[in-house]
Amino acid sequence: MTAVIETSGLGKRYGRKWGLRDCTETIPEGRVVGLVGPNGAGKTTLLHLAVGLLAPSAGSITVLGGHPGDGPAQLAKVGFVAQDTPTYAGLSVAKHLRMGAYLNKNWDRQLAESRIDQLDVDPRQKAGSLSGGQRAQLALTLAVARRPELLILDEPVASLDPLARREFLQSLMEIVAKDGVSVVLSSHLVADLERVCDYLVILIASHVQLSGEVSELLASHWRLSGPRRDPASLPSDQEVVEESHTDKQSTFLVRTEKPILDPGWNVKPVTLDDLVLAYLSNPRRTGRARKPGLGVVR
Amino acid sequence: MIRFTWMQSRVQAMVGLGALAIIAIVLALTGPHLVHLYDTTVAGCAAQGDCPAATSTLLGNDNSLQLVLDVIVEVVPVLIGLFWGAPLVARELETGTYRLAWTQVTRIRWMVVKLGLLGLASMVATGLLSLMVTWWSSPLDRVRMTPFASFDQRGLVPVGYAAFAFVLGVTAGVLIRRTLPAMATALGGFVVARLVVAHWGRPYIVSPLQITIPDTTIAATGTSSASAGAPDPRDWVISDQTVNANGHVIGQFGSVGPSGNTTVSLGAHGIAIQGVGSCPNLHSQTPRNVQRCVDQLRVREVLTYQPIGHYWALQWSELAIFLGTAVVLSGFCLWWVRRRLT
Repeated sequence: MTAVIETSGLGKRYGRKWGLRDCTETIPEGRVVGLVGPNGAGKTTLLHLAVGLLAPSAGSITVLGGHPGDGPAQLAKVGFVAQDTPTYAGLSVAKHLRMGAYLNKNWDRQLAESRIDQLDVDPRQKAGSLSGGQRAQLALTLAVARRPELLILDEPVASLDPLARREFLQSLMEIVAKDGVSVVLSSHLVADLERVCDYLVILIASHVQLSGEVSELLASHWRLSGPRRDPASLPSDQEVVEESHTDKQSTFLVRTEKPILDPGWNVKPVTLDDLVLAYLSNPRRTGRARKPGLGVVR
Repeated sequence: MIRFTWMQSRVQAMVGLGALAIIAIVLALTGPHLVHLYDTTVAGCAAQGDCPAATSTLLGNDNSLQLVLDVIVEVVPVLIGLFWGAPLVARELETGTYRLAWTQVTRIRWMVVKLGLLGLASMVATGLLSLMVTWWSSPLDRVRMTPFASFDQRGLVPVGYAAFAFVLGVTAGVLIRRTLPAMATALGGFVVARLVVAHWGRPYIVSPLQITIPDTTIAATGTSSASAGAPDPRDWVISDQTVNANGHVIGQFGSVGPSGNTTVSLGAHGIAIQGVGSCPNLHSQTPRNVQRCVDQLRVREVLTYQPIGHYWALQWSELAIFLGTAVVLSGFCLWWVRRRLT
């Protein structure tokens, strides 16, 4: 497994506060990786570290085998769509495309122009007068037409209405299907990620809580319900992520690689939404020691 | 990156060029008239023996335009610093577009090209302006005989001011990260720097000359009057101190005491000059006797001045100060943007 992003003990401090801390993580190549976490969890910090806008305060980060932001060759490998999809308000759409052509050796003019054509935007229109959805599409175009190996998007759809959101993610899927580019995409909404991601990283309070293939994660998490039980009485290979109890009944969300044999349980699969929510609302539980091989850190 | 910079700054460049063109047209229309006026009045006035009249004819002409031009030359570097310099980085940080730019080009390259091109443009624009104004004003300047009074608005120094103002604006923007506060800071910093150099740098950066002349002020009126003791009227007198026989400073501009009025009286001990001494041998207070008393008591004036011959050395020196500071600040900006803005 080759890594697009590899971090080791990575940390970033703003003054006294850590924006990201002790992050050791390997993000594999050829995936669409969803980075989920509540606001302020360090998603933007991690992504800015990956594109070289920030420098680490501790640890190290390698992106596509190089140091982020280290020279034009490294910059050319990574396409970045920043949060709120910044563009130059005073420059027209056409000028943004020219900017791309001026600043990037590998600029794919045809791709850029055809994408703008599809958007049904007048190229003479100023970027400042575009709708949020159009601006996000312009920013995506600028990043994609650079022909990067890795595309990093920081909450690209957070400020878009549902329709624009769907269109944006659809464009992204088309690009992935066509070019096989690796993608890292952050969001605080699981619904967005569910549609496009095949790999998930959950970041809470500046720590990576869980990461792995979406299919593996779904296959290893189960919701158990049955008569009230003490969580300590569960088999040792079943790790409790979330528990809730009534007088008579217990419900657990457990993680296990092995089949659940206890006939007393009503066993149900979990959705990605359940899973993420369980981790987001129970961040401390994930601090327990975990079995290696699951790609979990802390 | 060069083409991108041009694309981004085209509006600013057009505004600058347009303003320069308008000024050029106005000067081209009015300048030849001034030259003609000079040639017909002052140029031959010595032969006709009526130079004061010729001079006042010339100076009475178009005075307001001269004032406007001097103000423009003063203000243009400030405008460049505020509207080209301060927003350069600050606006990118404010609007978040640095995330678009600096993930496509290394920020060092971005900074070097932007600083280089816009800095150069600032200097060229101000240089052209100064050249035009210096040419236009030359007939008037020749008559006025006070080249040091318009030192800041002529020749080379405006180029240095512009480069400095621009980079100062950029530096403020890099440090403060917001356009408006950066503009305010750059404005304040520029004014302070200009005042400091004009008051404490310019008089001494090239060693001034000193000359001691007899004090004729006290005897002439008994009150202060500006002394025209320096060898050339175009010289710049930095200080004019009245000293006594021991060389102690006892006043300014040929008078004695802090108020500028010298009290001369006649008493039992002859003519007395308050704060200096008395001349018992002189018993009537005629201007001639007062002058004799002044000479007897060895009251003299010490003039410290920059001769007209130093004019261009001073221009080059001040240009060097501001250009040098601009270069140092540029280096600081590059370092800060690369190392600290992360």
